[in-house]
Amino acid sequence: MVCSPSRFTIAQSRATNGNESRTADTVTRTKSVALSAFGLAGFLLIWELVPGLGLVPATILPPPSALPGAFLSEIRNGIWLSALSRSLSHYLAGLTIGCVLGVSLGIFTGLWMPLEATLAWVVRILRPIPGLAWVPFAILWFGIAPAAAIFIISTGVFWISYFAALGAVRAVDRELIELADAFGFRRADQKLFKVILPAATPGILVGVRTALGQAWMAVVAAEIFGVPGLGQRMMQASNLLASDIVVVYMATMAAAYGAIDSIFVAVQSWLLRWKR
Amino acid sequence: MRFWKIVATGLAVSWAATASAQQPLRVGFIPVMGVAQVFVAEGEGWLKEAGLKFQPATFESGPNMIQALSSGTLDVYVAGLGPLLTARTKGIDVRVIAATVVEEMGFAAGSTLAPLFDGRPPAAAFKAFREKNKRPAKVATQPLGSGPNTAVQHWLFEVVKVDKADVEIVEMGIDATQRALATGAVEGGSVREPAWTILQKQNPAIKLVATGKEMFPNFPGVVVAVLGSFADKNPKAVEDLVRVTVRATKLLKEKPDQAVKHIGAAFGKGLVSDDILLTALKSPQTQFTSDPRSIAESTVKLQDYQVKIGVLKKAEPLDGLFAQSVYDRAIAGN
Amino acid sequence: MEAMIDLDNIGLTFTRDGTETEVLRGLTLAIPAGRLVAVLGPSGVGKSTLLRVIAGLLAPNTGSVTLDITPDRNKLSVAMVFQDARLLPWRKVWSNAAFGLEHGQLSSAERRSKAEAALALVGLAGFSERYPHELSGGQRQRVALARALAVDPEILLMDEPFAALDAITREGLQDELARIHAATGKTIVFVTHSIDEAVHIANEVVVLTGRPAQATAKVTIDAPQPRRRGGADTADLVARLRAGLLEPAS
Repeated sequence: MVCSPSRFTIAQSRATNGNESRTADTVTRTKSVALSAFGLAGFLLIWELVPGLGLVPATILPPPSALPGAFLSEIRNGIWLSALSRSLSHYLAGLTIGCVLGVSLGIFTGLWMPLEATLAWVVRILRPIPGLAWVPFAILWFGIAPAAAIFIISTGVFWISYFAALGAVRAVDRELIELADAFGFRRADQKLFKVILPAATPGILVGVRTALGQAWMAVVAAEIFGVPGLGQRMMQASNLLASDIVVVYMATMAAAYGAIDSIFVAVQSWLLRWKR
Repeated sequence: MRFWKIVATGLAVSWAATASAQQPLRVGFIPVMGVAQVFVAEGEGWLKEAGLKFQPATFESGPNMIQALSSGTLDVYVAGLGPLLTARTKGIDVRVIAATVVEEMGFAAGSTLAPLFDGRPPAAAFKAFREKNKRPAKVATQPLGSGPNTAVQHWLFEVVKVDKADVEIVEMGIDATQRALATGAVEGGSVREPAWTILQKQNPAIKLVATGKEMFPNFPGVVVAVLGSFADKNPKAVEDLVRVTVRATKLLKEKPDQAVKHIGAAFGKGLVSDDILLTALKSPQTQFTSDPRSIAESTVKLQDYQVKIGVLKKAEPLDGLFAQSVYDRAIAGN
Repeated sequence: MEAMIDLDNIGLTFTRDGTETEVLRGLTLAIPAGRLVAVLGPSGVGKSTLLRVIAGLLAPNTGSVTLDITPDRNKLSVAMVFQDARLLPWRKVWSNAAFGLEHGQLSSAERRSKAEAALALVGLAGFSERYPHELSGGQRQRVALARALAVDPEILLMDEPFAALDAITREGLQDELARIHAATGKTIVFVTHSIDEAVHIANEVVVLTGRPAQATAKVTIDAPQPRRRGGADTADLVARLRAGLLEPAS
């Protein structure tokens, strides 16, 4: 008799809690979207007003309302498409070369300690050199040509993928290697393809994803000394004090990076579909 | 107690005196010979005499300087005239208070291009290069809108009428152009002093195939300019600046050996020897001047040409660009 | 009965950073064919080391291991099950089970059907398309067992395979192993530190104690499978073995 009322009360409050939490979820989600939209609108408004009210010259900060016009004029005179396709070709070439070389060397170095020891001090000296510092050599070796830009992009990518691959191979669970031995796969190539490479793939992909972003940043630096592309167009526009065009290309680069990263994440999810 | 009062008063007076005596003058410049006057003025102590504290800042290009000028972080602009025309179309009120050099541009050709100029007009030389190497000659200069770019295009396409298919213009910064020419990464390019003298030493095979006069007569090279608002607020400082510029021009022309020791600071201490600078000073690429009047007409031509090559949308009226009255007052006082 | 595995005077010393540890000394042991032999001893005595010597993963300093098998390049004669399942997480369950079959000239379809048969043997029919992360600990260990059975080895080596599992799963798998042994007649060497486990499944129990390790006792268990747990004869055996474990090495 004493139990029944308390049992009844507990059941009742659980029911109300359930309903409340369900409504709370929907409200939070709509609220969150509304807040984000409001935040963005506020940001754009402030951005529009600052040069609009003369607080900052329009050459230093172009208002967002100037951007669609600038974008359309760049498309109409064909420059946008040409600059984007050129930069994309430098980017993809530099990314591919840097990744292939970096991952390969990283894997080999990870497999053989003597190789890592031999390269250790050389790596320590070369690695910290920033992309821009390679420009004089790039011009010397490749001339004022896309190859020079591709070279600069690939140096940054190379180091990232090298260390990612090296670390990933080193981190492969020793017990899985023993498993391979126990099941008769004693040869190095058997271990490499059956255990080491698949196990190292997640780590290598993380490195490649970082390299994707790094390579875009290198594109601007790589094209500034006379190779046609987004970077050069930005410099040209900046020299003509056309800051609105500069912002258009900044947005273009951000969008291109976003698209490429999204594609990569999709590919990565498919490759790593065996994971939790 | 009285002792401290005297000390305090003394400090206050001297502080007030220095504060009013030394007005900071933030001067931006690009590393070319045309900025010599301001450094001579500072070296000879004339700026200090006028109560101006010289605060120099190197810039990679004119347009970079314009951004700093218009945002108020720079007071004086000493660089090419070309970018100022672009600035005016963006509504930035800049005024030229003095010229410094004219016809400072030259066109240099490297060892693969220069020999082709022997016994041939330039247009034929470029065509011969293309036929020989199956590609157009690469020519380095600063980006579109800059003085060198405009002068190079003017020479190639207006003066000597090179076929557009025979030449490829590659845009890069001032240092990069010098490097590209020195290493042979490009076949030719625009040069100013002291880069030209330095280049000749680095690579004797390089030849000057066109002088500033040939490329664009009376080309308005480097000028001294300030924002209209700065000129209105500091009329005396501006006038003094013009005055010392004129004095410096005179010294550079009459006593280059005395003036040269002040110029090194513009290119990084110790990086360029005084001998090289002296040679550069005396070269025909360096025509010191100060009167804005001397470049008024060529500025109109410059602007028209910039409209033609697409740098400017249209030719704006040039009144207000030249603060001629300031100059006239300054030399009257001298 | 001819010995399937003949260990003659096995000695093994580990050297690490200059210090030498003698783990095994003068170990002589004959493991008959078709028997499930439990190697029983306290943790760290060297049971797993001995197993790895039999597997060929470690070379002894003295003595020799002789296996009565016909070496075949395309087929494994010895298969191993570790204490942790060690499945390859990027492979599906059937592909993990087929791991040991990738030596020979079998076609992909043949490998798959053998793997599926082994999975059915351990009660995991229908799990082929799953990934290891979708399975429980006990299920993963069963896949490891299927992987070892799929190659149809003459000798099965098991290194405390059920020690990391909960009691209920462990007892279930012990019974399954006993069943599989009865059905296939393979020679099984089963390393364990659990007396109850040894008594429940083994035909022979070898006790390993001392430092360096020696085989101090050998007990034959004739009771047929399936055995009940907790009976009177079981308790007696357990007591005998416990005594054997506490006796100092001779």
